Amino acid sequence: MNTLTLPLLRLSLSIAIWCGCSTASLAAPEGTTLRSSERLALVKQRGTLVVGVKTDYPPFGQLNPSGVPEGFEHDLAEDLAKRLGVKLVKQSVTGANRLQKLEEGAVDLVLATTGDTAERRKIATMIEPNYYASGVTLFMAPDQNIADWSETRGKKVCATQGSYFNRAMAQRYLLDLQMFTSARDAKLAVKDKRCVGYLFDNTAIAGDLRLPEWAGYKAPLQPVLNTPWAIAIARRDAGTDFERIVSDAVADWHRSGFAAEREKAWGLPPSRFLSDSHSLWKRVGPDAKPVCTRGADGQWPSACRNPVFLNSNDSSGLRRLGLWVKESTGVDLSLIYDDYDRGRFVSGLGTTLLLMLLCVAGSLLVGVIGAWLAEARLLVISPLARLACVVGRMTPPLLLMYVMVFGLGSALMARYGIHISALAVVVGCLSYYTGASVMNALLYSADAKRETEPGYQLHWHTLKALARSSSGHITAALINVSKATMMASAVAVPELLSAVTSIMADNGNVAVMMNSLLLTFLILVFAAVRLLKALERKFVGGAP
Amino acid sequence: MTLVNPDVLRELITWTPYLLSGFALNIFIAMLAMLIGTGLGWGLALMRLSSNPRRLKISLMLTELTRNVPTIVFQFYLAFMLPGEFCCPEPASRSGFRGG
Repeated sequence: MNTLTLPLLRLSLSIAIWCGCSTASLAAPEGTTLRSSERLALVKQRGTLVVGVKTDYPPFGQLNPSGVPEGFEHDLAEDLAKRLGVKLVKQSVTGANRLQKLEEGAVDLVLATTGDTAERRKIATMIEPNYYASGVTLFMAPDQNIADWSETRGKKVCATQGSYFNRAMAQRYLLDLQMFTSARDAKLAVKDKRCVGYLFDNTAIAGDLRLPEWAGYKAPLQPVLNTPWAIAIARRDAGTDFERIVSDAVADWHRSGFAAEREKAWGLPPSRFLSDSHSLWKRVGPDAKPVCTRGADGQWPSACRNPVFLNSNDSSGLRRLGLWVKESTGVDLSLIYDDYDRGRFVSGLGTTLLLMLLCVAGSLLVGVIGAWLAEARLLVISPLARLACVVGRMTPPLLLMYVMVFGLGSALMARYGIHISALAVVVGCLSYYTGASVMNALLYSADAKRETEPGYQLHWHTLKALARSSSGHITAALINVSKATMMASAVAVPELLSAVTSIMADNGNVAVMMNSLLLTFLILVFAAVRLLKALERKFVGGAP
Repeated sequence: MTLVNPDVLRELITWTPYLLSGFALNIFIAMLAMLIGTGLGWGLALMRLSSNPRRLKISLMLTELTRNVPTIVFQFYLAFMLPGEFCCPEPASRSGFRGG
């Protein structure tokens, strides 16, 4: 060999080693090459997939009368094995040993009602997307008539000690929790009517409802505090082709509606999670490709992932910046970086602006027309108009709104099926209230004018003459009405205050949202005041 | 839906004392707010009329700030932002008895 070959050989060897190493590297950023999983290779070689499933949690996993394991999750596992082209072998696991068995290698995959939490993500690989979600609902006696969560406020509700959701639910709905040590005691208390219902996981309750001893019992309330479930594989299989295949399978379950169909087949009440997932994964973007397609890094886009687990590295753009700020300073500006919260805030802001505009216009209209009617000296109408003015000024607008929406509104709904829009009611009530103030100011000015011009009567063309003396009062009334639009949140109009309180309820970022609300209002009202004063100047300025 | 429904009358008679006690609270809040408001307003007016330019500026700023915020928003703000409870500092004599 000549002098060049040895260094050349060394060079080519190191290049070969480097190439070999890079293909084996974790989570290749360019996305096309995945690490190959030893576990998947073993499964293919063996020809069987061992899945850990529950057999004591009907209808997700149970033993039928002949002792054969079956259930909703068993069907999903069957589909997985079919996709991998191997046979399914079921291994019974419990909540206590499922992840341990996975770590030991006794099972290849765990599909056993496992909640997807941050602690569990440290010891296993949780497949995203999540295949199901469970929430908290109320197990009730047959004659109990609670139709909505809001009706549980202040009521006695049974619960078992140690459930993670007890505190959150008690705080949110102001429940009077009666603690029991076991589920059996809690359910017996429901039977004895010592409480209105038993607060527990909706899937466990679904299992109980199938038993003959609880025939007639029900759990109609929509589950809240939803925790998603995930399929678990071994920790070392993160970023491998095994994870990729299972993850694609779950995505397909959502897209094709297979999971929802199986849910129905097992007699489970249709869950919001599955119907929402179905529409999300079916949605097609403007480029005719599904919205939830893997990006260049092999990950699902943020909109299709479990938002609880997104950190700044998984996201891009504005969301990345927002999450980074949250991680470093603890300030959660979700109304800027999260599109759903931002959407809610912006639409709330839009509704508030609309309310302000409509109320100001309505008040002016009511005020001017009322004053003209009062001054027209008509037989019945004029004194009636003056009476309406007095009543309008004395009645608190919020009271009027409640009477209209909950009193008249529900009566009309019950009797004639007519639905009155809450927004219309708010605009009507506030316009009436402020219009009465405007009318009062105009009538007062008219009276004052008559002292110098005895023949004066308020008309469309003589209105300008009153401008200077009444404009101050009128502008003040209009500024007040633009601030009063916030009352609309009391009758569930989705304006800014209600948008902010719901964002706060979802994210817990109280200080940020309250300060944002305050700041937004300062700016809004400041602008409204300047605008109204400019309009006033323009209107008055022309008069002599 | 007759105008004088006996059921409605019965309900009104049962619940009126309870409603009146609530109404008494309304009146109490109104009187208290009027008292405090008058006091604060008088203070602000004095500051506005004073010859000290800083006091004038502060008075103007406070007036502008509180005028621009709707009352209901301010109520929500205080309800969420004010602490529910706060600890009183421990008196000096107690600390001497702590754990040896």
